[in-house]
Amino acid sequence: MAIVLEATGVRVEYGETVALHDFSLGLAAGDLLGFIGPNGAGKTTSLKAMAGLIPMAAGRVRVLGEEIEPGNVLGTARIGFAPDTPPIYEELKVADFLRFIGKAYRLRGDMIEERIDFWLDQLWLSDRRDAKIKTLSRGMRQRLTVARTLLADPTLVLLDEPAAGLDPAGRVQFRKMLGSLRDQGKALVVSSHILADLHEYCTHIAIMEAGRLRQFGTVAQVVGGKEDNRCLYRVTLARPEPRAPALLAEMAGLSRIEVHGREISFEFEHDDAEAAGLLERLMRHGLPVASFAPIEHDLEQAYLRTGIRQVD
Amino acid sequence: MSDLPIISNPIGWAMLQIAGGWRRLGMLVTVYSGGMLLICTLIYRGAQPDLTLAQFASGAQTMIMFLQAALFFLVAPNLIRRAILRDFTTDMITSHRLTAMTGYTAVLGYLTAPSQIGAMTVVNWIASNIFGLMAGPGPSQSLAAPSMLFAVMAVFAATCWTLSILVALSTKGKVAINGLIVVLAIGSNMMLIAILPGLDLLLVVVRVSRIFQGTALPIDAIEVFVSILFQIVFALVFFAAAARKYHRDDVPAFTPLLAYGTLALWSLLCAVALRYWAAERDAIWTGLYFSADPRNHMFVTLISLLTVACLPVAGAARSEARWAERRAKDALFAPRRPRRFYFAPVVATFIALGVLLQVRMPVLERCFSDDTHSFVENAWCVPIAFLLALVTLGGVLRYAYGRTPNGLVAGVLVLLFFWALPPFVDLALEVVEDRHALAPKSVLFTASPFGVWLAAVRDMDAPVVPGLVIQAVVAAGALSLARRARYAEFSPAAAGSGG
Repeated sequence: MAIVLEATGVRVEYGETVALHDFSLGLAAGDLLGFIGPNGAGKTTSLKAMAGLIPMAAGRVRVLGEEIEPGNVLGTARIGFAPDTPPIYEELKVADFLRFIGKAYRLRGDMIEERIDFWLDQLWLSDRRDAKIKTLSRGMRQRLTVARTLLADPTLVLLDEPAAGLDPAGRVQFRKMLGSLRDQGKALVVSSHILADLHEYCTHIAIMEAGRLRQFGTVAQVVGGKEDNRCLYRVTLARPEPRAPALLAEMAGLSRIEVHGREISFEFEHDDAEAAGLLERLMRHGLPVASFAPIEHDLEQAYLRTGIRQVD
Repeated sequence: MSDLPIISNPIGWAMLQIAGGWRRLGMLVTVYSGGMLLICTLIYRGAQPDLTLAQFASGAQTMIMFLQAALFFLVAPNLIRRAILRDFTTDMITSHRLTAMTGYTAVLGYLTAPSQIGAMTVVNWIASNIFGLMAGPGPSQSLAAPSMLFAVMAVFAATCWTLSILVALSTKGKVAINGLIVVLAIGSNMMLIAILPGLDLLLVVVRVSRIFQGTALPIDAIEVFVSILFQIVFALVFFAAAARKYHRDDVPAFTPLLAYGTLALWSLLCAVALRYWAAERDAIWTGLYFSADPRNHMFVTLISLLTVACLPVAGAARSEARWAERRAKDALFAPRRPRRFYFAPVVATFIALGVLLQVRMPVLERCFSDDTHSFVENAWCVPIAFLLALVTLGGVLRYAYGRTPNGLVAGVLVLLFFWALPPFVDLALEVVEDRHALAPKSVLFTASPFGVWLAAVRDMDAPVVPGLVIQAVVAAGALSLARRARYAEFSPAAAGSGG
């Protein structure tokens, strides 16, 4: 897979405040990165830094090997960035606004019209084609911003809270569209607080806190906590067993043991053979095991596990 | 109609659509033309029989010229500024910056933003020609005069509009240049700016009404032609600077080359004006002795040159400070170190005074000679004071830029405390101590470049050498300050603070 985005050691400062510390990540074509973190974590700042919109105190960003810097029109034109507050000309009609964007990207006239038709259809705005933008709802404006972002067929797509104004049906369709873009080989970065959605369509997750990248990896790595190859298991006993805590504490490889009546949870190796061995040992010690299973993590749990408490 | 690709520039096209498109523009032209026709008819009917048609037409033509000047120089720059302000407040500027538009395309788009002004200009031009025909080609009126005046005003308007874009992009649309234009227009009409011949030559358009009245002398036509040439070059300079500034707020508008070029251009303008026009012109304010004296022309010209020379010096200080700051925080930062900031004062002095010297005689001899026409012995101190002033500025700004992103306050403080205040304080003390005006000046007077230049061009009895020594000490102090800033940037603590 071709490397689309390379951010290395990016540092952004606003006066004395360091908004982004040593931010580094890379994305290949077809990667869809979900960006999560509390407000003020540096998500928007890092998106803007990747788009070359704010000055960096250190580091560099490359898109398809091209360094992103002011005046590099060829480089920045490969990036589609949709900020959380849609930048639009309220007085223009929907199609005219997209026409303007097409001209600004130097697209041919017929291609502009073709793409306007396509994206208005994809984003359920076809019936609002000749409506003034100021008459659109927040969700529609958000979709128009996405259409504006994708009109020029960018290689790297940066979306800041794109689903914030969408209704449930819209979110479903939006997820499908992101999946389709991912399958087309684009690299996408989506900042969102809707963790369940991100879990569904992202290939990678980055968790940010206080301007630092706390975690970055594939969804499976981040969600399953597999970076240290350990997993949370739950054991249900047929009846309360007073010996259980002591027995488990003596067993090698177990940690974070918690006992609540018949329910016991602990961390152990995320490996099926090891888990089978552990179950066998529990049975051999005479524990009345009624059920034994790893707890399937979701993104929300993974996020909470990082210890970042402030969730919007 | 709105889909016609008549305006191919994206921003220009969007601005036209926002203003209502071609249909709204057509309505505006119709209403404006109809309104003008109605008002003219009413005034003419009301003023008959005291007013002949020719007299009325002549008066109406003059009014249209004033109206056109207001549209060109007050309304249009404000429309441009508002267009840029809207792009900043709606964050459309971010959207523009991510597209494939170059800075030049964007600035050209903003130039076409006041499309209504263009339409009204066409109406005014047609109307002024019709009124010209009605007034008839009298002894003081040429039939081609309205078109010539429109053309001259349009060139100056282009300079004002590009300056307006540059200022608006630099201040996120918050600052308008209308106030500056009004001050310059008033100053030019009252001949106050004749004190600075370069500016007077550049703003000759304000006095160009003499062509319109048919009373122009051959020298006026050449002066207007030279002025137009300079205006066009300045418009191109502002255009290039604005195109750079468009890309991101932290990008300096002037590259070193552009800054030195601007200084050379200003110096050439001043030199040409000093040599060919300033000294010969009579001051309209005869009571204002200051305005017609070539020595004072030279003094004010030197101040203006020093002010424009701040551009490359400040740019060099900023560029070196930014490079050092980035280098301290980013080990992988690759670009070469920019030229040391203290080269800029040397180059700027060489350019500013070198160009002036190239166009030197006979005006410099007049400026630097006493009543016996012997060359004033202190003339040599002019370039030294110029250089020392710029070194001081460069050092202080290098220190300031190492600590803050904005060096404007430091620059103003230097101008105030090291350049402007000392002569004023000395003159104030002179009054307080009841010294005679021709009595020797104190060293406080010559501790500033302004004082040294005044002493040189007026051959005053002033301690020039001690004054220059003080300026040299101040410049050395500024260099030492800059050196401290450099050490702080490259200390292990600073380097370690990088991510």
